Amino acid sequence: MSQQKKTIPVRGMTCANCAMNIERTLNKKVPGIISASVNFASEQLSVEYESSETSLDEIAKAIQKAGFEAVLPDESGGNEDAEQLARAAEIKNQTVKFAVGAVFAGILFVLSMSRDFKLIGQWSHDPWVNWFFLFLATPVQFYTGWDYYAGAFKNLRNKTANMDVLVALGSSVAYFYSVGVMIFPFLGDHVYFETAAVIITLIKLGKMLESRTKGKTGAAIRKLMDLTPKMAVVIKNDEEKEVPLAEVAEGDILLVRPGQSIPVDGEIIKGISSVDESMLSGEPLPVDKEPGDTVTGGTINQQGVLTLQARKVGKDTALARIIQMVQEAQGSKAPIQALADKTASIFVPVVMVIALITFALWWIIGGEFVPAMIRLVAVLVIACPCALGLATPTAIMAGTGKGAEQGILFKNSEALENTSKIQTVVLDKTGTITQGKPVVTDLIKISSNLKNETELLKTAASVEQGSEHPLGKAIAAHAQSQGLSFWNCDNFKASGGFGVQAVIHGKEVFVGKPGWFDKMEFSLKSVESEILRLQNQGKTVMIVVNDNELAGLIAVADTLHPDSVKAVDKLHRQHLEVVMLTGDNLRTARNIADQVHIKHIVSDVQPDEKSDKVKELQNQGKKVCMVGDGINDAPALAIADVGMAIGTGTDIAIETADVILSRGSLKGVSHAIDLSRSTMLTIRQNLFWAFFYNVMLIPVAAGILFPFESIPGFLRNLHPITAALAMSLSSFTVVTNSLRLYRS
Amino acid sequence: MEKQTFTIPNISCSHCTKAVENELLEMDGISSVYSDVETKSVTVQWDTPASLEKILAALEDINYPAAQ
Repeated sequence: MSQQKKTIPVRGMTCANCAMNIERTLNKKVPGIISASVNFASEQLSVEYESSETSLDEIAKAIQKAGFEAVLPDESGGNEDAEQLARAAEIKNQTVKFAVGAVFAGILFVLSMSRDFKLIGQWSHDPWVNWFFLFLATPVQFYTGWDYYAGAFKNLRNKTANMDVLVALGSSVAYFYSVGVMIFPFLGDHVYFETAAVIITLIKLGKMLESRTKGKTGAAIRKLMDLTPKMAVVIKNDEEKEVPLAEVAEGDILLVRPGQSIPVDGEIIKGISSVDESMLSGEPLPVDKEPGDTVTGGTINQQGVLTLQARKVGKDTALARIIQMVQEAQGSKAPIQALADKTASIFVPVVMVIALITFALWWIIGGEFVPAMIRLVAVLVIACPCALGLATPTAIMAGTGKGAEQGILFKNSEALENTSKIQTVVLDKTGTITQGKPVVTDLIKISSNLKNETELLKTAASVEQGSEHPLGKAIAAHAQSQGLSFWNCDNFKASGGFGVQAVIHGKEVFVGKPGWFDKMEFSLKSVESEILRLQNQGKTVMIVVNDNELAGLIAVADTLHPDSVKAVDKLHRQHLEVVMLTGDNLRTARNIADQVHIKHIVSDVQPDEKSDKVKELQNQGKKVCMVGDGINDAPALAIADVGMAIGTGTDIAIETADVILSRGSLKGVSHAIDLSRSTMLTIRQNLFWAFFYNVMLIPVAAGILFPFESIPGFLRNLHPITAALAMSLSSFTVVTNSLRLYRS
Repeated sequence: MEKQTFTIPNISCSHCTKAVENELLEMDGISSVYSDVETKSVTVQWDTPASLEKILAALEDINYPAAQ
């Protein structure tokens, strides 16, 4: 008897209930399952089972029977690889299908066009050529095009008509009519195999491009889960014991050593340290903690040993709630129907009605069946615009390509489309508007023993050169940037969370927070108002004491990103509402907001409340774009209509976002909005041109010009050349129009 | 023979309808089940030993409770 625990990717889930279906199926119908839980957003199944009673294969079979697909790890690779492989397989599948289509349809198109335009000899009208065409068209129709038949069937069953229906119907009519012509010559004398094959291949090109740029949401959630340690040290009866995280209960006493992640949300009962909460809050400075303070699971303990009592475990921790919010937001995001599909849902039925009316009129008036049917086919063939397949992908390729050039990465076409509709831009403060790392802003010399501010900086930096603390690092970095060298110092000592001390030239130097000196009963009364003034500006103040004398003050703060002011002004000029969102208090927030001319401030927001604030704006009917960089921004990024991650941000933010601004500048936001607006305009123009020629020719195909005997024959009865010309012209117009976007 | 249509708010995709149909068809006395994603409804025809209570309990059990 041995228990196995595995994580397996599962595909095919379309709603959150699917995940529950799978769990239930496994628990009820597969013997030996100890526990099974399926995560819809990450498409993962975590299953624990008795390996003597069941196997992974049986589990996979049960999942398949319920209508889903489990991706079993192959023997060489781990589970994570299995998911990657499944994604790679999907891309490969689409690529192979397109390649087959491109080769066969390419040859077919060239030969057929050459024949229609009489570029090649009379031999091309031999009967075997049509059979060769059939041979070329068949794999394209049923191998490359199979997805469209399947999609069209599903759509028609739901009583809607999308692009798939148009593609399947149009190409099938062209294909089967052509087969009919070859078997029953009375049906006509021209085959339309190339029309069918080209339609399918061009549209497959669009699908292939899409599958290559699909977002990787599963990986994002796994990264979040990896933040918490797998094991925790529990103290019971004065003994330390390492236990799996799942066994930690509320009220347990835990020990966290320096450098370790904090396993659960809890309250410190012993020890002083500072805790790096940057991955959760985005705040660059570690937060000092002492008994009575609360700590959050997933954050990292810096210097001191902490003893804490678990307050919230498992699903109740802040991190678990953030993970859940990301999952829900991703699950609830309704897929935006492609613009082409919307157009098709009106266009397809209209064309079908026109074709049927044409057929009926010709049959009744003309009295003959075959010419009436040829008219019907002609209308359907001319109406299936293959440029439609190019209209969206070429514009999106040009748009995303142009974006990549400017450091703007759109994850998919939906992101591009949604970005164009944005009305409100919500900016996270730290790391987005500001640089997200502390720099020295003020040097104030107090002691008359120091020559100038530079000497104050040199003194402090010499002590801090060995410091690991971000504040110390900021001081040392500032000194280095001024070209200062450090003095030698001895007896360096760090007092966790307060400051550092060392001996320079035989004199004891202290650099630290005001609170440290209060504790040492060193009076700071003379500079109290100065400290308060700096703190009111949102700065962190450090005191330098040299040989028991107050040497001076150094203020450190997160400063504005150099591009922020211009970027926000540009957003205002684009008639967008700009909102600043921050966990800081209103005073600090206002200080930054004033500098970048932002009027709307939402302050004092807890890390897990950011998505609620975005939702509130959405509930007011606004299309919201969220820009952020931290883990705490991830739920808001996911729930916003468009989430944009600043490229220097955390991986989780980058993977949850729809758009990535890889240059790390806010300017990218307005560029992205500009670009998406012009791309959407191009798509609309393309759709117009894609339809224009074909729509113009529908009445011609229906035979509206037939009664006018003075008009050339190729217009009275729709000639294949006319159809071919319309197709080429619409494709040419569409591609040229899209390329215009790239050059602009 | 009894016949009734239930509204099930949890139905949100075609897999859901299948799950509901599979579950109910396994019960004794159920002669036909038809569920629809669009209307979030399921129409059931049954005879003893099935009963309204048993059907509602079964739906509740698989986390697709019928709306009251």
